[in-house]
Amino acid sequence: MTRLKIGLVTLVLSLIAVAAALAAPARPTAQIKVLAAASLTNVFPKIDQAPSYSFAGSDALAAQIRLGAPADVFASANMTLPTSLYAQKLVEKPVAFATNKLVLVVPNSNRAGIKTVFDLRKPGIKLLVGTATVPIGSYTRTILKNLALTSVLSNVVSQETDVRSILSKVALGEADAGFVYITDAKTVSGQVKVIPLPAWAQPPVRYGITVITSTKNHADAVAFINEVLSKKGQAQLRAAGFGAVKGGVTSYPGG
Amino acid sequence: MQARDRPSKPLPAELALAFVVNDRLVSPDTYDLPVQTSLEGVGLDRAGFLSLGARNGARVAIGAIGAGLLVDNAFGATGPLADLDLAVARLAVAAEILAIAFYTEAIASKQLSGEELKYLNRALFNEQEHLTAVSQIISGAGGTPATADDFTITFPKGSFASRTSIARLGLALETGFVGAYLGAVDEFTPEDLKTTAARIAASESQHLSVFSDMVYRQAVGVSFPVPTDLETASDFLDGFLS
Repeated sequence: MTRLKIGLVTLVLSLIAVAAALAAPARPTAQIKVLAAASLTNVFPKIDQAPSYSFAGSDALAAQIRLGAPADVFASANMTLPTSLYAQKLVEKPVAFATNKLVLVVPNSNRAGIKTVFDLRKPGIKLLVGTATVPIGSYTRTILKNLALTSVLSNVVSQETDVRSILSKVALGEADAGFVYITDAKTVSGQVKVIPLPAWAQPPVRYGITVITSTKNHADAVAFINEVLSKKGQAQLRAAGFGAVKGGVTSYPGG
Repeated sequence: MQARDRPSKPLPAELALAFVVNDRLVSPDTYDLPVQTSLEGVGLDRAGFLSLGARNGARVAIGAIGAGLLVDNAFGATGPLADLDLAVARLAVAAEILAIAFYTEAIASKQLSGEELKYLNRALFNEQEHLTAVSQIISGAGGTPATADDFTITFPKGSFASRTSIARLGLALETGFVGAYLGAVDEFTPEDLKTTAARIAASESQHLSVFSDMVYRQAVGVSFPVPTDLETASDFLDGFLS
């Protein structure tokens, strides 16, 4: 009887171990190269620190892929760029893995006295935005249009190539305000003041991830993407302030 | 649907149009209004309805729905819209989504009954119709209007705990909505959108009156309700939407 019990316990434990192994995404074995949006700088290494990361503006990374840069995975701050690369057969069909929101950041000193986005209409405000081709710049122009505030673009003193440049320059007081993602603002907590933007004017911000067609490490690239899509990966993204994709996939379909 | 209190004489054309619109809008389960089931009942035939639309310069589309009832589809704007027109419409969509959430919660709380519950059900129905109308402004311009899924709506704690708390929140919300739509009358450029905003403001004022009566026993308020601009209306919504 006791032997039977021990046998049953062993069997149950074995089944649990097998189930856990199946549930956990396989980790990449080779060191893959991941090209990722600058806004993912802090969170991706928390999901997996093994890959070699290159963080920059998504449009610059897409340009590198077009030029044949050797890399395995592309994670963009929008779906437009990976979808465009997919149409050119340079990447596989992208999947959405996170969402984000825009905020306005001002230096702690806030010398310009900005309290809401509508204060950007004041003459003489020094505003930072992303270039029109980088996702943060494109989303910024959309939200300003949604708010009927495109006139404030006349206050732009510099257009940055990625969101982290906007954030650091505002934190250093080189501008009165800048548009960034809420997840970026969280990374410099205490160094800038965050002004929320109206929910009704927010553009839908969705991040896309895909395998680069020319990869020599396809299985490992897929394994990395599955880590990002896994429960653990998604929990890291939520902790960093990213939103969940409604009806999003939990494993990479590929192809 | 049973027609009640059917007028013995034909109604003035403008009033007839309102009844025809309501004919499709009224839900007999939720509100006890005089209901017309045909154009003849309001003294206006199909040709007269069309000519009324033409006379008023309104773009009225007539379509067959269900048993051949008429649809007022006069809300989509013609021609290109300015950024401000679309911004005001987007804000209105968010306001209506908030209103629908409020009435849905208020009704579900079971804190109100009788006539007051009927008012709430009717108001919910109005807000759903308003949402359709303002969403059409955006979709008509080639945009994608927001849906409830796009927002997290937060009401103050205890908002639906009693009849009084519901009435107070309703009063605050409807005051905001009346101001926003009166502001929209100023801010919209096309005449037809100004008219739409004014019609919705009138409807929201009726809702406001119900809550004003519940809170202050005073259904009739000021002679000139104050319009609010886009920025003020946006700040107001920020208190509830994220």
